[in-house]
Amino acid sequence: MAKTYDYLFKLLLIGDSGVGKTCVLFRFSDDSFNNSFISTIGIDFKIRTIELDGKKIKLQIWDTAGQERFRTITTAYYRGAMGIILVYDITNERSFENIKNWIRNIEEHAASDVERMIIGNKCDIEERREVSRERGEQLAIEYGTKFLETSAKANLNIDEAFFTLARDIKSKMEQNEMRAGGSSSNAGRVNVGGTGTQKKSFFSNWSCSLL
Amino acid sequence: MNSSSPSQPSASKQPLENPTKSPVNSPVVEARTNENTLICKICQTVVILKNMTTEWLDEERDLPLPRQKKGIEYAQTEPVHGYFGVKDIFAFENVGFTRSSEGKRYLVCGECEQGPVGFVDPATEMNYITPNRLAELPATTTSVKN
Repeated sequence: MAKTYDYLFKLLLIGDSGVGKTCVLFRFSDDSFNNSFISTIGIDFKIRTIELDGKKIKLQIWDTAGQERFRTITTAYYRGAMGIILVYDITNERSFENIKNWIRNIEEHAASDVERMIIGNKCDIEERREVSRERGEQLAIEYGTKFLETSAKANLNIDEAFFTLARDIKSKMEQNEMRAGGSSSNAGRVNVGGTGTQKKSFFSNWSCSLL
Repeated sequence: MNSSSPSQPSASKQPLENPTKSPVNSPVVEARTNENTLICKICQTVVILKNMTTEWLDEERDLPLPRQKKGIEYAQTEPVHGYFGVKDIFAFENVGFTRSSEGKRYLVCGECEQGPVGFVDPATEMNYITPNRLAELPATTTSVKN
């Protein structure tokens, strides 16, 4: 079947456990029921489809839940990732401090041109905040990344984060294509109609988890 | 493991082109695409656009209930009949793949995570979604929330 989209981006969520990467929205929480079956077993990855500048983009979003210790995440884990969202919990100082370790890990193991973004997630109430927005912004400036505060529970800014990252990846890709005269650098670019040389292995070798 | 387990789909055992080999039962898998776009019953997000699936699994499978009663250790399930199948995971607009639970992986809405709305056949890696747990968007409607 001919491809029905223009780009395919693989994104990865990383950060300490408990920062809300896997925050699930319990829209139907009700005292007589347990957490749903889904929230119990967890989600491995998601396919989301967005449109940017008239281009249809498929996002494959992975979560590293269960393997949060940065020492255990190495090259194989990052393979093929075009964007990485670093997540900390604004009510957890330690998770913020660890962002630096995560960045070091990315620099060591991920592709050098991977797009990065830092997110301060609020999994709990504002009164328990330990990390100010300013410190988050400062860290992002230090590492030259974009920054957003989100609330996974209220679904606040989560979509914006994905859009922002996807937009940055797309821009970078288009610049590379122009520089290459359109002859190469088709990573993530889908050949509509199935002609060309989309690498079959591009999204394989992934066994981690999502959002 | 019983015969209605999602981990033992019959897609690989009942090839489309050879229905005559099982004269007693009609073939459970046929080539068929989804005539309508399928959306989440809860949040209306498009899970898969029309004409994206390649087969129809005309069989009953047990799917876990979206909501489980408290105090019961095992996953409660119900039989659900009929699934559209597609191999390519990128055929979906918005979908989530669960982690493996007792060797089975399930599909959920990619937005609100409601489900399971289908399952993955571990043998063939075909992805099956059921219209029974999704809403169908009439073919004429053009404004959809993506």
